[in-house]
Amino acid sequence: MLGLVLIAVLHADDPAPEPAPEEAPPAFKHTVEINGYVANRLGYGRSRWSGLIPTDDSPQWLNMTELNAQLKVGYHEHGFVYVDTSAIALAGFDYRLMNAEGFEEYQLTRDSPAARPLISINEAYVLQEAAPWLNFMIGKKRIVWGPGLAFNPTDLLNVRKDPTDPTFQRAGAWLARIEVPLESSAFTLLFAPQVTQSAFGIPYGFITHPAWNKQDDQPHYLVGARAYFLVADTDINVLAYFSNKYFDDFENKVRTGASVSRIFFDTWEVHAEALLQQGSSRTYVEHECVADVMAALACNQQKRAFASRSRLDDTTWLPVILAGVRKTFDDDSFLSVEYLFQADGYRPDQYQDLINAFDGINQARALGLALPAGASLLIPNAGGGSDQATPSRFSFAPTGKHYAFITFNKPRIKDDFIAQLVVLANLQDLSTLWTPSIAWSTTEWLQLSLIGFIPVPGPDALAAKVPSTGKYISEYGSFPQLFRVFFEVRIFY
Amino acid sequence: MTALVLTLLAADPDVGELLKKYDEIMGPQAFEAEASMTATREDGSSRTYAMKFLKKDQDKFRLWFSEPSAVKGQEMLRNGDNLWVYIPNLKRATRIANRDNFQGGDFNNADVLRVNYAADYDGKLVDSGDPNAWCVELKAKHKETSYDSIKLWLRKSDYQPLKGQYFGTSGQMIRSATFSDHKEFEKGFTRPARIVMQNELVKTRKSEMVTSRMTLKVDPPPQRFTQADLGK
Repeated sequence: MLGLVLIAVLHADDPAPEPAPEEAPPAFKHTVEINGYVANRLGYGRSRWSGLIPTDDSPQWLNMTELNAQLKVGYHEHGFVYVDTSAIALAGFDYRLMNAEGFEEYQLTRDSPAARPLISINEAYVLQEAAPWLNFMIGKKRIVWGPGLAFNPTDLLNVRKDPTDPTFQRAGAWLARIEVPLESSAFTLLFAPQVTQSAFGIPYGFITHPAWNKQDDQPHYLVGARAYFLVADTDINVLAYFSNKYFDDFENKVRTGASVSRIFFDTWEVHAEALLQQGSSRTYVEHECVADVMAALACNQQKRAFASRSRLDDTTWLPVILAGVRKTFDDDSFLSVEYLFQADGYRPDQYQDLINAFDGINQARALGLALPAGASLLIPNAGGGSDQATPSRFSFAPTGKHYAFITFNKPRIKDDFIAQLVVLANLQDLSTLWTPSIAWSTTEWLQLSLIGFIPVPGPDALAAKVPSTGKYISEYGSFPQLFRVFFEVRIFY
Repeated sequence: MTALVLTLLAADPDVGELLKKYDEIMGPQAFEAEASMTATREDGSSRTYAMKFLKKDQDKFRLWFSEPSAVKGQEMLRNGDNLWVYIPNLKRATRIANRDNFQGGDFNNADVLRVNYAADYDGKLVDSGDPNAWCVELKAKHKETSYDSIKLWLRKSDYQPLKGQYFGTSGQMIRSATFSDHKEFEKGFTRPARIVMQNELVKTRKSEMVTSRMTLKVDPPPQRFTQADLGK
């Protein structure tokens, strides 16, 4: 310290340096960045052709080739255009389905939606900063506010992610957003119109259905607001949504949500995310119509719907809550455990009703009878918001109340091999889906992956019973494939 | 008089001042930089990452990866004791810990994103074994630091760091660093352009960080260091 003082004293008589001439800031130059990947994924899955879920459109062999390009053009010092799009070619072979006699039928090819080419505009938006504290964005973007890894209850905008690989689904929603970021808070307001007409993944109609395809007269949109705070080293989000027929049947619906995330004990990340809503847009089966064959016939005769969205106007608060923890170890491996509670999920008796209804539909199909009223509501779809997206390896549409997601990821088991195991568990019937995978980054630009999907039924005591066959069935025991294996080659550029 | 001056100059400096000097060199108040990190693994293979840094104040840090293509678009943010990583395919920010390894290399996140030794460590001067260098032994003040203790060698002539040894709670040396290629990036501002971090637990592993450009003439708005800015 004394040395420093002395140096300062010795230099005290030095003449003051001339102030450096002010340099003009460098002129803005447009920037263009492009990257992406080419991927080929070959998969084989043994069809559960005799199961409750029809396998007519699920080829056993499926090849997907994806050409992805991500382009970012900085047109202004504070503005840019970003596009992330994929051209996807699909080829499906070897369809196994149940014929009218109840036997396995083989078809080499079919015109299946699973094998049609498409263009997926994952994101395409313009973002302009008016000031550091105010920016505008318009276009398609995947905005995820909740911290959940496998599932985000508060995400009403996007196509649901694949919990077996949350990085797989990148498609967002069309929206306009205003954001006010401050030092330890941010406020966001967005308007998302639903795509009502599109061709090959390219939208050309929003909000209302066209006159030639008048499905309803309603406007389809969602308004979302988010306030973010960083308080006591904790991320806190408070959310509010108002929607009308936005990828569900709710009209003029207000929903609220919140999330928190924080690191504890140096390496434990703890998070929770909740959506609070009154009622549910879930389809429930009418117990009185599926109790037995006579009840079903009676309902059919009375033209009573077997299934309906009976809790749409229910005023009961039905939260969806996810809570989880992620621990990172010294070798960079991590373990993530999350629990999901859906208040509107099926109880075991309601799940039994659902199985009864599926069985009834299959029986009616086999006999060539018209499907009962409400049956179309039971046809599963991917759920979540938004429109066309990258075909998912696994569509997560949880039906029960209680789920667990467990992910263990270990990088560099040898060289650049990454091993991962994801287990999804329905905690009501204890059926599980095991997804082991191994990825090898052979170079900085080439990655090879081998992924398996193995559904494991739960114990019979907790399973539902198929009335016509007496077989026990649990959620992942009804998976349309006995197992699936994928091999993927991905070249980054 | 000359003898007095020389005597005073030879006196040991205040450790706090030394740490402040180290922080000014390795983590100036505000800067923008471009660097590459090459991580060499056990089998001799290596991976190189290119990145851009932006820093403001003592505790605000941004980092953007630009190479290789597989991690392009990945971002990191430090604000206070909080660290986030933004994974483009995940489309959201995830919290990470200070002690997690930086891109699987031999630096950890705090080595890169948290250069604040004056605030994080208490120190004392110890014998350096080198007449041209001071050696400071540092002890962590709190749990947010990367290491339990550090031995740091600083050049007497200009306070430039020369080497470091980093210890875990067991007292075992985990890593060691050499600082070299001291370069004047801007008039009056010199710092090591090359840092080699040697993994002392797995001797065949090391990571090398090379800074190619650095400027202190930046004044980023505080919004650049918020979670909302990630992946924008």
